[in-house]
Amino acid sequence: MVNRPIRLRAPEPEDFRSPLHDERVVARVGAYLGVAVLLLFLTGLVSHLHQHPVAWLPFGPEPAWAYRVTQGVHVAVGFATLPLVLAKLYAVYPRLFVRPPLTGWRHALERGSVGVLVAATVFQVVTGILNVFKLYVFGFGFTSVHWATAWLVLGAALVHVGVKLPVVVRALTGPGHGLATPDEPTAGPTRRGFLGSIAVATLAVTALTVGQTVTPLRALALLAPRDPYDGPQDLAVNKTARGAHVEEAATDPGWALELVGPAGTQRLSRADLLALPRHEAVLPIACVEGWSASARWSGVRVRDLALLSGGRADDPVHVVSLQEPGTSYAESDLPGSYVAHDDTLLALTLNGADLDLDHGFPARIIAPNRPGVLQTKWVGRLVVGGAAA
Amino acid sequence: MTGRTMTWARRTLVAAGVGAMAWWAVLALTAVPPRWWLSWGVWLAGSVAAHDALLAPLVIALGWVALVWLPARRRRDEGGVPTVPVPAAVVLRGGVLVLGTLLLVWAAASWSPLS
Repeated sequence: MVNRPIRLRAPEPEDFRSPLHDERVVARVGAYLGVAVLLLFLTGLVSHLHQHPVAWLPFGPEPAWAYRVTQGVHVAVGFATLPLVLAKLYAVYPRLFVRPPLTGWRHALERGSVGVLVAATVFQVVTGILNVFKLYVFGFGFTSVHWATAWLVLGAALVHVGVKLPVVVRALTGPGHGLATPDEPTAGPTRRGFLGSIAVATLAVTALTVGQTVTPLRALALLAPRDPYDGPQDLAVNKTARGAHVEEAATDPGWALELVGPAGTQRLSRADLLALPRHEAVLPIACVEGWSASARWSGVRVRDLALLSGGRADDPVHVVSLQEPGTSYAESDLPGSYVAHDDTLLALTLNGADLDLDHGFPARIIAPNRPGVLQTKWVGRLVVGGAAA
Repeated sequence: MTGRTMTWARRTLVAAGVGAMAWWAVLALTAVPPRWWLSWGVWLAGSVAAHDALLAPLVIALGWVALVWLPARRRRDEGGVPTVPVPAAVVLRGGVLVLGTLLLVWAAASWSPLS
């Protein structure tokens, strides 16, 4: 027996002999990942436009469940993308060791675009998951950076597909595109098995997290950050009164809603509000972090307050909370279509009892088809119509 | 897909992609405060470096040990077993992917202030 010396050297693509690195596997996993990236971009775009509305694509309050669905899909697909990204990177890993590393400017551009795509995709998945778990360890504001990087992922993915399109078409539709190959008896089952494993990993991570918004699956949500019904009054809380530094102001017996409108400024105590005609609605709180739950709210219709202020029933309303000015989500805007809706309320009770302090006592906004962060809690002032300007 | 269609499809995709990346650059300059750029860049580069330099080599090394080195040792010691049977290799690779994914999510969950 001859003892051969072990030579350490950088690997080369030919060293990776597994059929899992075959372009047919790479193209298939890439196609799944492409669908996921597109879904994430579109659902993220919906969330962004809710929070930064544009005149040419206004969202209305109907259907009431729409934001719950789009944001639930966004977070569920985000989790499901993790095994897809890992599988895709595993399948293409040998390409990292291509020699020579660069053969010209075209090759440099191609590798550069792949580098950007990988960096941006991994970044989005990792920071997105950390955000869902409220692990803010990255040193930048999540929302604006996540939004900007989404465009980088989309752009790099489109460039990558454009560059690789002939290979993708050949791998998915060309001769011998099937996963089984007669001259490689083990390759077919291995490739299919790998794709099956990706499916199992995707389903597993989805099943263990999606219960935070698909409430019948709550019992399975072992890895979900929240139980949507675990909180005061059986509803989860994202930002507490203590966290928002409003405990004192919100419990002040002298609190009164400042209602500013064309007729001037009025102050309405909680007793005044309770004496106004009240309406009940079952609406979801749908959090940007993916959890959602329906609850029974009652309070004064915002359109009634708009009329009381001397405005119209479909005037936009600017909402100001008791939080320190400049704090994130301390203010929000209700477009006219929301104000006019039957179920848009200045809520005073939740599930039949006075609002808990952490749910926005003494009064909060609740409206259909709206991100949770815009359902402003601890409301101190409403500014109606032209008075908002 | 004909050659001409392919060419136009590729040009359209690349142009749209370059446009999207240009919009990213605009957003980076106008919507993200400069004080965040450094940590943003570090996380962009760091996430891919963590994968390529740590996670992927670890998985490749695990695969080599489980599917190449150990079977070779058994073959030498027992004088018979050829390699890991295909179904077993599939289950091993699949198991690593499923458990690895769940482990990463579990790690985030266990460090979360929500847990």
